[in-house]
Amino acid sequence: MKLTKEEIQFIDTYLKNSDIMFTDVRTEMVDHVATAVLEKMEEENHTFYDAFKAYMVVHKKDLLKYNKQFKKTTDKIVLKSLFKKFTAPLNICIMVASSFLLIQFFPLGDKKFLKFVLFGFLIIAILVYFFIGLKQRGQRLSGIERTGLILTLSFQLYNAFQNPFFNEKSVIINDYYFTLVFVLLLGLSTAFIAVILDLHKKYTNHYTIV
Amino acid sequence: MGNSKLYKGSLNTIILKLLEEKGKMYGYEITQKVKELTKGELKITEGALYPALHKLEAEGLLDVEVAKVDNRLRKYYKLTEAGEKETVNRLAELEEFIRSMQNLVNPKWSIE
Repeated sequence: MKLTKEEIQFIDTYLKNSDIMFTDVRTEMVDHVATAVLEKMEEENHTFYDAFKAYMVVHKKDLLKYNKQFKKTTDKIVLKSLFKKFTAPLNICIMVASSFLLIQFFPLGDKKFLKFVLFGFLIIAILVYFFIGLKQRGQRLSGIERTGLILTLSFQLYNAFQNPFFNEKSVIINDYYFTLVFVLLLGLSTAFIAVILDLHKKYTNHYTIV
Repeated sequence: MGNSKLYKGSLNTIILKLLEEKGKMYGYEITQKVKELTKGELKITEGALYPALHKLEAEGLLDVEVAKVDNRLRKYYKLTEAGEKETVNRLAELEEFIRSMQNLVNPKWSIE
């Protein structure tokens, strides 16, 4: 005995309507619910809808708890990966080398055009995020989406406190301060891009059916 | 379940041990196996099992494989090389803990 495509779709739609929006979470939940419902149908001779209703009455709260817990776990995993990528030896080398190059070749006062570069780093990371999002063809994958959220928050924080277009004095006026912001944004953006690409690779591997 | 708090700290070790024995398992299968082995004493909820699985996966102890089963995708978990080593360590820790608890709860008095 197995569930029909329509019955599987029914479970998926029900979970989607219960605010379980990430495809990776829902895929696992659909299988969990479908297996439990099928077992109930076989053991207790229930119809699909009766078995589904009986299962949901008891377990819906747990499924929603899992969904909530999953977001927290994903956030922790993403933040940990970002820290790991930010402090990776190669990233540190890039940051140190770029700070030396910046101080060496762009003396104080010549940097006004570079204020665009500061934005550029974060914008490149955001573009990579959107490009990967397009490749997912509408599927919402938890890790990538939560990384996108943290990236957007970082961009907004930068806008609020360090945007050189609104707050020119703070970033441009001091050579070392500018270098520090430049290097941190460069390091952060490369860390974001590396995490997004890693997650994309992970999801592609996971959902390659064996 | 008797007292879920007593089992909570050992959930990851239980998962690792089952995967060591069975090779690869999916979420529902783990909950049923635990229920069967403990004669219904321990029922792992979805809210506890899946976050634990994802945490172990993020730590690099578990690997994931997806297969199509009866019109749906099924996610199987299996131990990585690091996971196999960690299972041995965690089981040793758990055995040591059980021994210590037994000594505490049921001390054997002797005159030396």
